[in-house]
Amino acid sequence: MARIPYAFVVPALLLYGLVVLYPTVAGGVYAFTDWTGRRVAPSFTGLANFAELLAAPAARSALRNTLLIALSTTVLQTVLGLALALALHSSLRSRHLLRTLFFAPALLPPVIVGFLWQYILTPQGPLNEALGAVGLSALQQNWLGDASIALASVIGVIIWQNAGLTMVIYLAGLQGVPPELLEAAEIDGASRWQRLRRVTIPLLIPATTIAMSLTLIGSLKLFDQVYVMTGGGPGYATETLSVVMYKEAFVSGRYGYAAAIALVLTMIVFAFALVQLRGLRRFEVDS
Amino acid sequence: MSATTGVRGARARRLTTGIAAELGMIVVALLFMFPFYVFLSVALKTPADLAASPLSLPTDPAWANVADAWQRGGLGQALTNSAIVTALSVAGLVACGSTAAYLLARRAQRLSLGLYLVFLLGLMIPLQLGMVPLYQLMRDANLLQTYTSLIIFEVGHQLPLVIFLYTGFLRALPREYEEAARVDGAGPFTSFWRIVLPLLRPITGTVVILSSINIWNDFLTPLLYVGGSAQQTLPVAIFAFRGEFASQWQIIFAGMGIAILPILVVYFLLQKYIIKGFASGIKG
Amino acid sequence: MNSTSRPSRRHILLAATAAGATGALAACSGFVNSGDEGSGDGGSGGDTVTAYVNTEQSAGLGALIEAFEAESGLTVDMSSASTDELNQQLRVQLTSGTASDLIRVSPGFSSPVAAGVLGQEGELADLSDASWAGDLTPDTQSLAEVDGQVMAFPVSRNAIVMAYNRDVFEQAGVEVPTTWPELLAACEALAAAGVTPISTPFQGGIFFQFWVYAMASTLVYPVNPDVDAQMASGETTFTDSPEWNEAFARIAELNDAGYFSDGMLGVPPDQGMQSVATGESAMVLLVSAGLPQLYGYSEAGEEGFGVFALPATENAGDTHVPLAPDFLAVNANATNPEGARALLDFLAQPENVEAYANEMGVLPGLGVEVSLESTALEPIMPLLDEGRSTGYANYLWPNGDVQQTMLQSGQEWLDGTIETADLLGQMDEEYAKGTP
Repeated sequence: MARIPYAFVVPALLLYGLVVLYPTVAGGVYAFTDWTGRRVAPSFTGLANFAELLAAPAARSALRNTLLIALSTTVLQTVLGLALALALHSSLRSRHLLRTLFFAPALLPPVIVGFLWQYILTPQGPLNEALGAVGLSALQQNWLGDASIALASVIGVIIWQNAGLTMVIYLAGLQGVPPELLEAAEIDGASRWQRLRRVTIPLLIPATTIAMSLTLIGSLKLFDQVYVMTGGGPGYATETLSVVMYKEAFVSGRYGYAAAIALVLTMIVFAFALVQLRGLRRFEVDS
Repeated sequence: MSATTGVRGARARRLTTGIAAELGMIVVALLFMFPFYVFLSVALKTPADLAASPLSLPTDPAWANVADAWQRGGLGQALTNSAIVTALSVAGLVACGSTAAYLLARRAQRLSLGLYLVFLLGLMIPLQLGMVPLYQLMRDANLLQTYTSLIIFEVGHQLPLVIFLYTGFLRALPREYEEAARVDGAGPFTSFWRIVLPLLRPITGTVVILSSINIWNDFLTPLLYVGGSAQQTLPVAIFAFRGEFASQWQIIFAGMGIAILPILVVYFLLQKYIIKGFASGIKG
Repeated sequence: MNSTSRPSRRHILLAATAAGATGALAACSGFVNSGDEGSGDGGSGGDTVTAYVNTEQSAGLGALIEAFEAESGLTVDMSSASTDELNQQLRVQLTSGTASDLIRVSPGFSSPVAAGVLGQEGELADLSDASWAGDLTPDTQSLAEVDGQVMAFPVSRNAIVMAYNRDVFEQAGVEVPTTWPELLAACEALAAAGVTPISTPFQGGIFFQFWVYAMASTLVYPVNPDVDAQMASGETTFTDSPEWNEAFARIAELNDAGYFSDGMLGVPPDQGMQSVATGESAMVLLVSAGLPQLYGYSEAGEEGFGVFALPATENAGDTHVPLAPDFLAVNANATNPEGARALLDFLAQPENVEAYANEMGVLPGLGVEVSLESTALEPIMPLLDEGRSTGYANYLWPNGDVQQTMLQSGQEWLDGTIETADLLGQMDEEYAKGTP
């Protein structure tokens, strides 16, 4: 069979190299300089940017928040997405319509989701108003203004937007669960919970891996919603690495320091991705 | 309890739980849709209406908000810009992505495997790290504030996902057809164009759906490249609504409505394909 | 399918694609930069002036620019963005040589694209010989100059004022306070009447900074006019300055007394203004440019509100008003510097200064004789005439991060997470980093 020439990959490689590879490497180099984006040439400062990163309250808090957001959205969104998928992979008459509705937020521009929720979560905004109207005023909160719950509110918004995506992945996975297997288990006297626990969930492991890695990587890189909703505040309560990085680069003009933050973020994403990849590969060997 | 009543009871019970589950899910869905209700009600309220109550329906729909947002935000131009950038980027992605994936999937060599991994790396790299160097590259090419800069960026940026999708699909695709074409004397380009590309149609659908949505919704880079120019895309135009000291929510929301309406209309028309596209795309 | 049909079908398809692509390219420009479009380096200049301004300036300049184009025969290619967005993009544009001829810059050193910062780097053209340079007011001059050279033109000036709901004051039997004890008494009476005395929409921190600048205007600069020089030389710091400690202590006093809005860190500016319009709150401290928006929330319009300068001492005569110029400057690497200067000269003509001020409801940028249509700012005019005004405190801080820290850590300070000493200490740390 004649070989496919490498010319096939050249256009893609050129564009990818231009847009992703070269700038990333160049940015990585800037992480070790004091570049301010001025015409003056930057000088190498070694690890100074990284030392500052560990000392600055904004960056430290951002590091913690980034990890917190990533881990909690990954776990909660997976659970919620699975629950929705199980509920809608059933004989419900409205299941098609409901799937459509639950998935809709995933299509919206994140900037718009940010604006929308910023408004909903204001102290006298629609959410508190609605809670008051149904007699749940005890649950009213200053959702984005109270430093102790602002991060939880942000996480909630992210999950609202993306739970439908996880649901869709699980729905696809559920189609691969043979009904005969479940029937056999039912005849053997397995309860609904046991069938779920012993048959369905193990068969959904591939879907789980995919859903979790997508959520994890996406939430580590999260920018638009946080930037629009809180800008990192109140105080530093919802600061994330990508928001601090953006502010340092484009508000304060400290590109070298910003590049260092971005490099740390990249390292974290890689570390998590590596762990995920291992899990994925182990699964591939199994099947 | 006789056997028949037992069966009937179980059936009745199942029916009741079925209805309860159905109602339960509908309630959950309605709660889930609450933000959309807020969206509509705010977008069509007058400022005074909004100040009076954030939750009520507008007393008299203020369509003027929509017209106002459309005019003040230059949303007609922004809509055209978004459509141009998205359409051309997606075309570029299908062209570059499918050809590259064809090679990567069919040539089992160390080089092609290595290249594939390099492309996959792009799924993980946060674009923040390269944001400024890339900006300067675009400036040196005198491409800032043009569609071209955005199209180049979007194609390069989305390629890893697209190549991942195409390669996964191609690996599962039998080679017989291409081989038959080769026997007929067709070169690699001919057999790709005539045989492979048509076979890729299902995954191309997924690629088009996924990348259109990603590109249409993209914000940060368009803000940097075309913000403030006549070429700005919809999310950028919406963001520009936000004034310095206060926000006029009705106008912002009306503008946001204009921006998401095309997505939602397409979604409700093609929902089956879109959901399937997401699921199959993600399954690889 | 025979061999002859293959190429022809492909050719048709290719031809169609090519035709489509060419059609699209021809139909819409915007794929390439034609040269004189927004580019400082590549442009040919000639009879086009490019300008990049903020949203407010764009609204105020529209009609004036049309008049200028008619008079001069030049074309002005103006694009605009919100100030935040503009600040972020302008920095990159200047570095990249893509900035417009005429640009909006921040006063003093308050951001990476402030007149002082850019002026020192040689990014701005020297405008000292312009005919309007002598009309700069003293409060603007120090912010527009770098080493005695004029670097920026004030399109307008804004004051930080307290706006109050007349009905609410009347119902609570409250007079306009002119001293600090009177302000406290007014708040007490308003709180007793069941309204929030002061609306504090501090989400994002923008409205919080007005408090710091208003306090500093009366408590810091009149008491120690040299404080900025002393801080720059390291003689004193925020922490060591009794004046600065006093300024923050006054804000804390109002906050501790519960006169501020509930959940203030989550309240966005528009809702804070609305609550004054609806009478839930009595007053709000804001920049005068925000007044039209406040009026818009109430059926009563401008009539429903009054304005006064925030008092901070026992003596009404001590009260000062913070003023902020809204600047335009000429890019040192402008393609068409003459055109940009001509536009500034045109805007500096007294009738045009007046037109802009009236259009936007702001104070005139230059100290020229104008008559203002709106009477809203009349209560503070005597202060201006007596020279009781200062620039915003942050304008002469050496970098934008001092303010950024004040805004973010200030939120932690307001909710009691950190003490005043911590806040001032953090601001000192950023101050010490100097101008980058």
